[in-house]
Amino acid sequence: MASDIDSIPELDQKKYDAEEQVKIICLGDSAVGKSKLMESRPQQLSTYALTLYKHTASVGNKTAVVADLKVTQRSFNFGKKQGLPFYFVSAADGTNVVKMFRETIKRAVDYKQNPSDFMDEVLQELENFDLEKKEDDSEAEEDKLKAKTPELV
Amino acid sequence: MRFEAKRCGVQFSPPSIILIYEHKETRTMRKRIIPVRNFSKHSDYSMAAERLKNHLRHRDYLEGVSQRQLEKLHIILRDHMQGFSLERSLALFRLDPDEDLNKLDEEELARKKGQMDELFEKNRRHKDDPDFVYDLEVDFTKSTAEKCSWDEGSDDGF
Repeated sequence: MASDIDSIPELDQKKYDAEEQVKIICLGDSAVGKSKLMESRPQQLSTYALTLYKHTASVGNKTAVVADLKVTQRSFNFGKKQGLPFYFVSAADGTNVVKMFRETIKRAVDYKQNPSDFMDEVLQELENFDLEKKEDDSEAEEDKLKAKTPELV
Repeated sequence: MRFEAKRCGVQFSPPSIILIYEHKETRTMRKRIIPVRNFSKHSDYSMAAERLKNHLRHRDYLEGVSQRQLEKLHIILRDHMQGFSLERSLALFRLDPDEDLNKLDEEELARKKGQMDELFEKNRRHKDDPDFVYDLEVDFTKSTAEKCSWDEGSDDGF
């Protein structure tokens, strides 16, 4: 697991609308395949403007299974009970990777537009407020710069 | 490839990589002993493996040996220098589905990941492969559903 913070080349944050920005958090046990999954289909996923941060966290829990195709014939109740979508993916050959990311991103964007949790709504309002404030601040900076170097205007 | 690598291993004294390869022209099997120099228990096995792989004298012979495999051999050499038995050294590479990998430190985890990479690379599809599909979708809807062991017992634990 990488313990350094890693990110792909900087995006111009202003280009992307606040409503279109979502966070995808990849959680899992050590060596379960999180990095491999993120690396599996990198280029086109960047059309979704992904910023990859690698972070080590230790939370004690369960184990990893190695290439057992029989696992796709079993049912996993935890996800079902929580109403979570479930996918069988392979980072190696790409099975269902794009589908999984595409549907996850769509769900995240849909949820942002329609949060069903009060706290999420509040946090979203705050986030929008912060972003507006940042935009105002950066516009003020730009104006200051323009004032200093009028010949460039 | 003039030389086709068949098998590789280590020799502890003096520390060396042993390579069994086929000499394509003469169609004979040969053994090459590659001494591992400037390598101690504190050495970086990844860099050492890379150095050998690019070594002028040895790189043609090591063409068919992956970086991962060379790294593993160096780790085994290093283990021996630290006083591990061969059994212990090899056991640390073994993948046990019941082992909790969250409990391992960075190095121990790196060994396991290296082993997992072997199967991963076999299954891997590169974008230049003729059968590469970017958005590969497979349907796993099944008729019979076997239970998963996580589901047995209490669900409160999560």
